[in-house]
Amino acid sequence: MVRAATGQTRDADLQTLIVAVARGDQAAFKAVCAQAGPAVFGVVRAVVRDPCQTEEVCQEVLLEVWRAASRFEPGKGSALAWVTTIAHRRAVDRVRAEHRLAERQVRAAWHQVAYDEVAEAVEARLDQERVRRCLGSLTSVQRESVTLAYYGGYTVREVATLLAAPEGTVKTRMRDGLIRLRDCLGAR
Amino acid sequence: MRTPRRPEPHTLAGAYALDAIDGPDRARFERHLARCPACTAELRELREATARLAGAAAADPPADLIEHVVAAWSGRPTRLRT
Repeated sequence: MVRAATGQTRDADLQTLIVAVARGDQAAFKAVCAQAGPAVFGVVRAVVRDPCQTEEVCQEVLLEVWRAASRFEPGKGSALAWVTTIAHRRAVDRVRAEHRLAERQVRAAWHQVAYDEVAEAVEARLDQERVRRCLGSLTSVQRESVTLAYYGGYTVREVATLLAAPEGTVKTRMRDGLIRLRDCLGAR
Repeated sequence: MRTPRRPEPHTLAGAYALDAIDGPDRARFERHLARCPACTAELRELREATARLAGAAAADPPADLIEHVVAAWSGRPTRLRT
């Protein structure tokens, strides 16, 4: 499929660039920022929400990408996964340092709406429609557990409170949901 | 009343991939990961799925954000906009 091949080619480019960054290549770092910037910005903005803090966290993430580039192992997963793992971790660590559950609970009701707004506001990207369709193939509890955690930055305990479900159930739904998402996205 | 059974660590790969566990739980799962190749392999695959979630939310960052990062990286002071 052309679309999948294009995604793989882009990721191969990003891998090559990160390896070059590890060697201190300044032009490569600019290219990494240009190529991975939109995904980093998107995920950090979804979790952090505040525009100023979003920018701060994005800067921290990209500088961490530079510092950690020498630890990137191309054989162990995609470059995009490596970068977005750093971005998501930084984003959730920021919001958890800032907010307590009581405050964040208020925001929970509109989080799904917020995600839809974000997704719709963005111009159609390579993969977006497919991801939305695959999220739609999850059960509602799987989808809520995955999206509250990923886009909302909520912990298992918080998601369990929000969905009035046992923590063990939420952990299982997160795993099952991601496995189903992976299978759906991987299918040609 | 039934005592809740402590979940097996390898069921936590999903929650860990979503950064939904932290503190001692995160550290405990990371120790488990170090000696569980099956969980390491599963986590790698689940992170490809979360990367696609990030990709689906992608949006153009403000233009000066990247400029600031590159300036910080190269050790030059950021030029103020006039």
